[in-house]
Amino acid sequence: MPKDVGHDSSSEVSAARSGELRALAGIEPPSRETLEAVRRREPIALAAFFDRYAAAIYALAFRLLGDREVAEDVTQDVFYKVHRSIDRLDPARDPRPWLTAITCNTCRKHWRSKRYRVSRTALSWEDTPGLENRLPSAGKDPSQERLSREEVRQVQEALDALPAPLREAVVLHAYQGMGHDQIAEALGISHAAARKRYSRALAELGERLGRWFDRRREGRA
Amino acid sequence: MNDSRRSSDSEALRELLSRMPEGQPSPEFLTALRREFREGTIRPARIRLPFWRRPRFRWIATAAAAAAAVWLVLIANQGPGWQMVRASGTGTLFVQGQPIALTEVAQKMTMLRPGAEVRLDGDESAMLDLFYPGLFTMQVTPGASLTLPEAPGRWFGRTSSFRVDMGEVRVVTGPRFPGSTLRIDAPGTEVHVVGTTFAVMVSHETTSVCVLEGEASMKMPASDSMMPVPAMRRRTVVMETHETMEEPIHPMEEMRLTHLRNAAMPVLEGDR
Repeated sequence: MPKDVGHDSSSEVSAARSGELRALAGIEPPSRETLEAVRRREPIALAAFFDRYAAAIYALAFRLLGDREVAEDVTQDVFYKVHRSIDRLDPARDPRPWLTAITCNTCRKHWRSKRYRVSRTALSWEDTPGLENRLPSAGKDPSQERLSREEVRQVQEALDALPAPLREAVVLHAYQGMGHDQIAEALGISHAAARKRYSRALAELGERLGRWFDRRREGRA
Repeated sequence: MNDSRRSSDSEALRELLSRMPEGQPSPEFLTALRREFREGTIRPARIRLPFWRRPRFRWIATAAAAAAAVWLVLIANQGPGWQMVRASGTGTLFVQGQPIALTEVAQKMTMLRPGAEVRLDGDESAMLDLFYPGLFTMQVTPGASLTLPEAPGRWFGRTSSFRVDMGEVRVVTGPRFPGSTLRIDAPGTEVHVVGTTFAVMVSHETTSVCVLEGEASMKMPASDSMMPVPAMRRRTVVMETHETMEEPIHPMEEMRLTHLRNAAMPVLEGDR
């Protein structure tokens, strides 16, 4: 058995569950032996694969969709698709672009779904019951303490207003930390197109989030 | 956007997103999903696309729209329905074997569908004139047995065909006929017409085509080649011997065709 195939350590599982491993770009790919074991659908290798990527896939879906339940659905769908088409996993290659592509495609399917669109149009940040389920309140997440509830609303609305390809470019580059090359590979577009999408997204966000950008520029000056 | 500003905005955005709250999947969800993934029992989430977004619906809708478009084009391509100019004399028209008194044909025009087999029985005065507005007039004489042609299509399917089994049928083509073709199947021959005034006469022994104006083509039974029948000529095929002969049009036939043409043209041109 390859040395890390059976790496089902409690630390990694708990990392996945606690959401410490958030960015796909920051996760080292498993060894070739592990990926070959994943291809063979060996249960321990599958569990290790899940532990390595589940939190990052969930985080990506959540940031793209802004909805906890839908992000769970997407995560489930992504792993279902991975399991179904595991034969296409190339053990010689980093699986992150493949996973990113599946996640983005699945999110697009959700964007088109009735449930998601209804949930977005019905969203009222001031008085919708169950809002806490959509975005965690400041008290529950330490990182939230730095943005007020109103600020979170503004940023999320600005992201939601972006067309899907631009939103993907922003989340993958600025949140997931992926380079334009990686984004281009994952989305099946050219490097120039990936850069252009990000620039356009940045320009559109600048109109809505200008005061944050201005503050940053002032701070630099 | 210059590079400095782009870089600054990009950093601001990165910082902003890092300060956004992270969604937390429920531990129960993660545990269950991990187990299902590991054991291979994982199922897709129930993503319900609105029905018009579902691939099957879109495929069906596309096929239905294409079928509807084809249907509309076919409907629009159809020529007009038969109209009656006159039914005179005493006689009975048999349509698909059903007798209709000539005096009642006007009330039963819906029975005169393209492809219907008709036969006109009556005395010498019996006559039925039908027409497709603008396209052609057909005069059915006593003793004639034929199938009714369909109107040529407006844009495609512009060949209209019918069969004459017995008797005489006279035809005058109208101003909207050019571009269309009439094909008449008769015993021992086939007649092609692209615009003319003519008659097809079928007896037990011969089939003749008389042309008043324009030109028709007649298939020769021996060679299958098409022979022209020019204006004011009559070509006859003897069915038993396959012999053909050409002669001047009979004065009586010339008179009848001229009379029909003079009566039909105002109708075909909409002056009626």
